[in-house]
Amino acid sequence: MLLVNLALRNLARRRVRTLLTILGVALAISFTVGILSISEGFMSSFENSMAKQGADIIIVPIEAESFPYPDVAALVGSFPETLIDEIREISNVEAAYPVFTAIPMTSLPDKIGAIPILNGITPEYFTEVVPYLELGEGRLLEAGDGNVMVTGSGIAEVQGLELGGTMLLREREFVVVGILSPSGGMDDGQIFMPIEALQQAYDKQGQLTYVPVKVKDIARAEETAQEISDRWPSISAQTQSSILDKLIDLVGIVRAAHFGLSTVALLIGILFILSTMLMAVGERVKEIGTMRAIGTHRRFIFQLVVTESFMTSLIAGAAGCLGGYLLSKLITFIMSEWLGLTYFAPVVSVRIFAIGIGIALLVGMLAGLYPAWRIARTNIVEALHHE
Amino acid sequence: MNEIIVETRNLTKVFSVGESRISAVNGIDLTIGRGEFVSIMGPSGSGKTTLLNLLGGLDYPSSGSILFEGQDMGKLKERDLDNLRLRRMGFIFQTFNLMPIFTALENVTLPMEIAGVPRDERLAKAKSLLTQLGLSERIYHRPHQLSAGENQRVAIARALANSPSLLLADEPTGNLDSRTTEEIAGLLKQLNSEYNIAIALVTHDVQVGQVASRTLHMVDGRLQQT
Repeated sequence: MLLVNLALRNLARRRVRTLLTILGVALAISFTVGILSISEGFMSSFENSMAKQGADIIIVPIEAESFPYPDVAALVGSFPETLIDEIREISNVEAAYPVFTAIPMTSLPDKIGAIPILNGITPEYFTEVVPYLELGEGRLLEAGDGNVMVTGSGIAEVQGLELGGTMLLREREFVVVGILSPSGGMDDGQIFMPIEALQQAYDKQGQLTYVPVKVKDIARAEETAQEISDRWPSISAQTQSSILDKLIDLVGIVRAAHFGLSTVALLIGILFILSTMLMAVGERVKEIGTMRAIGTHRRFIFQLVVTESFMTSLIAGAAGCLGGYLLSKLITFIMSEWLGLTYFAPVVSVRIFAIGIGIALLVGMLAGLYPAWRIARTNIVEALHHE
Repeated sequence: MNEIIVETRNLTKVFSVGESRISAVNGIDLTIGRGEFVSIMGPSGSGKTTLLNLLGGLDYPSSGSILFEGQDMGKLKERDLDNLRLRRMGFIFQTFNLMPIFTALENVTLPMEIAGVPRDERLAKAKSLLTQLGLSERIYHRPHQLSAGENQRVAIARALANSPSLLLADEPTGNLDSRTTEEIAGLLKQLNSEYNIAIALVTHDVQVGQVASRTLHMVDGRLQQT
């Protein structure tokens, strides 16, 4: 109790300095927690959408080989629709679904800043490729549909799209016939339209950007993907599992970046608290000499300084977690309200808070050790004469 | 003489300054009995404070020994020496050395709290000591709210908190005006007789030194008894 009481009183005696130290460490931790929660959220929504897809092989233009995702494919190129009929003739191919994806880079005229991903599909795409998506209201696409659309819940909210409402795209009016339930994945930021309508809107009749393929024998999926890639050099076919492997590699890279970020936060925190603690004990040499003279053990002095450092970092850690949570909310708000990227839902998990608090406590422990050791070993007589 | 509280045998402390060696305390044999009030006087640099530091276990002798209540302090582990200072000795400094973040009451309870005295007991004892020293109205004041004389009285109360058998006072009136010096000197004399506590007092002030029952003069690290 004496230890805690003394530590608190010592921290309170230089309130501004203590608050500035806490603020510095809290900012470093806020930044880490905020970025972690956003990137975790992004990775998990990405992982969710990709892993649930009912395709065994994905075909994209060769330019999108390294990042075989619909939105990337839409940005880099397209290939002729006629290829799909030839692909369907490959013995192991059970079904192939044509997709034309477009990203209206100029944004929608009446919703500046909001950029949805537009997917031109055939009606069976919903049942065969993304069966996990549930209809919230209205209906899904049907054969014979013209300029209609089914929207993800996130983009509908951002765009203010309602059932029966319309959206102007390249001077064509599209009517909202369905709104999907929230999926927690990237699909919430997508709009689905009849493929012909979207191709016409973009003047890309007969062009595809993305083809999910189902195979008969999954054991031969890799071989089939290779066969497709070899036969048509303008496209790249990759199995879903190899794409997921790439995703896992990407997750690994992101995790490594997280580790680097956490280490930087840790170092910043240590330097902040270390300099503060060295200053604080430097001002109290005589007091500590007096405490030693009246019989306080060296170990108590050591524990006192470490406790002060620990308390500073604990408060900073808690403030940092709260700050990180608010930061992630702010970035998400900016992402969804201004940029329309609705799938950036941050994951504020116990694990991320534990990382934040863990960094803080490690900072407190490490930053307190040296000043504590230095002051605890000070010669009593020299300390008593310290001015 | 009464029961011996502290006894030194051929006590020597040598400091190395560059290549030269200075004997601050040079073969001192000294005995202080229970309830005895000894003042140690002498010019600056004569080794008075070094002797007091050695008696209080704040510094280690270069040679010779110190027996405190029969225990050879040189053979004690650091922790035991800390405990000896905590429970059997009290220290009074020229600059009071109070904890600025604590009130007078908290400063006095501090040594008792470190010694593990229960809360109620230490509060009662601290209040009683402060009242006895005329500070009953000032117990919740912090050092910066007290006069120099009041601060030194708080420091004396702190020194008495764990009922020590020896008080070590290093120039306790060095920062006080003449009237307060007289008060503090009288107070030490009163405590010496009231508690039968031994006091070793280092001072420059002849008037203060005279309140002791025995005065020792130190010159060049050696004692000259008068």
